[in-house]
Amino acid sequence: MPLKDLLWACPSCHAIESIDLSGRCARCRARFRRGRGARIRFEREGAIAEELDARAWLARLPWPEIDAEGSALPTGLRPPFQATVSLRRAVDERALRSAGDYLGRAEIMGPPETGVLRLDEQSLAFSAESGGGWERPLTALAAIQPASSAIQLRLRAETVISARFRTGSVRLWEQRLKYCVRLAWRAAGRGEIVEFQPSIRSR
Amino acid sequence: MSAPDVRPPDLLYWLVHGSPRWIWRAIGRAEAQGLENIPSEGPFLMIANHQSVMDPMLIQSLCPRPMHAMAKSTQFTVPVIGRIMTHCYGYPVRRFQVDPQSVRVTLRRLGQGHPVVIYIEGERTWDGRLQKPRPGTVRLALKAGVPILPAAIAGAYDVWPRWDRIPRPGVICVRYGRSFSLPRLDRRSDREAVLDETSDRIMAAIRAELDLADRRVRELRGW
Repeated sequence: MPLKDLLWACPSCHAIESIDLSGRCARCRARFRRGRGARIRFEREGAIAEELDARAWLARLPWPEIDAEGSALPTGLRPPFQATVSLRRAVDERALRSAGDYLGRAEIMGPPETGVLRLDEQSLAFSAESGGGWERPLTALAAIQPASSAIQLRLRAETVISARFRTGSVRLWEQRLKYCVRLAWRAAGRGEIVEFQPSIRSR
Repeated sequence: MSAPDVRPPDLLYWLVHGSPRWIWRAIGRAEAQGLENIPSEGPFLMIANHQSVMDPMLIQSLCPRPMHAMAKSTQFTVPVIGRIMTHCYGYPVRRFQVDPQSVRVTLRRLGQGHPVVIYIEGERTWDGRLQKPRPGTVRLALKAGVPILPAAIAGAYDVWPRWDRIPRPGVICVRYGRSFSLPRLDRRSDREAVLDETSDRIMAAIRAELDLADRRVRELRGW
């Protein structure tokens, strides 16, 4: 998991999703890398280097911390959003047993497909680089589950999809998705969401 | 027909069980505290925090009793790893849907007298802090009615934070706390009525162990 997923904005210049895979900010050229233990070291030409823990860097962002419940978005961020993703879809399931004991089922994911994921207040769409794609209303989502640098989504009456973010921060995307799903639920008169997993539940 | 009991630990199990401990002792330091709190027999539900991808291996490796563990279903389809996980008493949970089978397997394993470990936060921390508990774990604890053993791992975040691709040698401390009882509540409405207060109680127990484990890690590494 790259640092870009944690630092969803640059703590130095506050540009959103400007940190690339190498830890460099595309706007101010500040570089963030792992220091001692789990501290993060900041370096930029002409600036004094600093080494702080993750919480201290996140506290320097001008927005409240990432809200994993998606109740709000950082100021200025409004849908639509898009990011390049590597998307995999569950193509089958396997029953798991151990010494005759049935343990449950596990999904078998298909090959990855690169493309652009687009999200707005009503829908989620994927356009594959190789052509083709799909669009679903947000009310068709049944669960949202973050996993490492991917977000796993379950679509009602369909399958599980895992989207690994090539660009952007998975943490910010989790918040965006949940925020937009909340809006869609309210607009459809389905009430206020209280849980996103194991299934989206509202009251 | 009742489900068969699990096979007893074999050589492969003990090799897999011991290797994280041996490897980590060669390149870093792993210390276990509170081993006297682990019941020598009978079922219990160990509920732990989750700092790094190494937690399940270390928490189980440092524990003298074979632990049964719930893990995300997609890991079980990884060749070799999936086989080893089921061989070492892992069983799947589908995290993006209500998974009654994982609850059934947990209750069955506890009913057979085995201990089960669950990570209450559901996912690794991003910034080292303890996260909110997943209500499903608390519901399961109330349904099981077995002793709850709080456990905490400290130092693992500094060794391998979620946002980095590789671990570094370091000091890790696992604390196994004193177990406590929860009532067994068979009715869903009864479980829901005490969900918040039970969550708070479990998290307070984990937090207390985590503070002690954190302190020990700081002592050992000197910063």
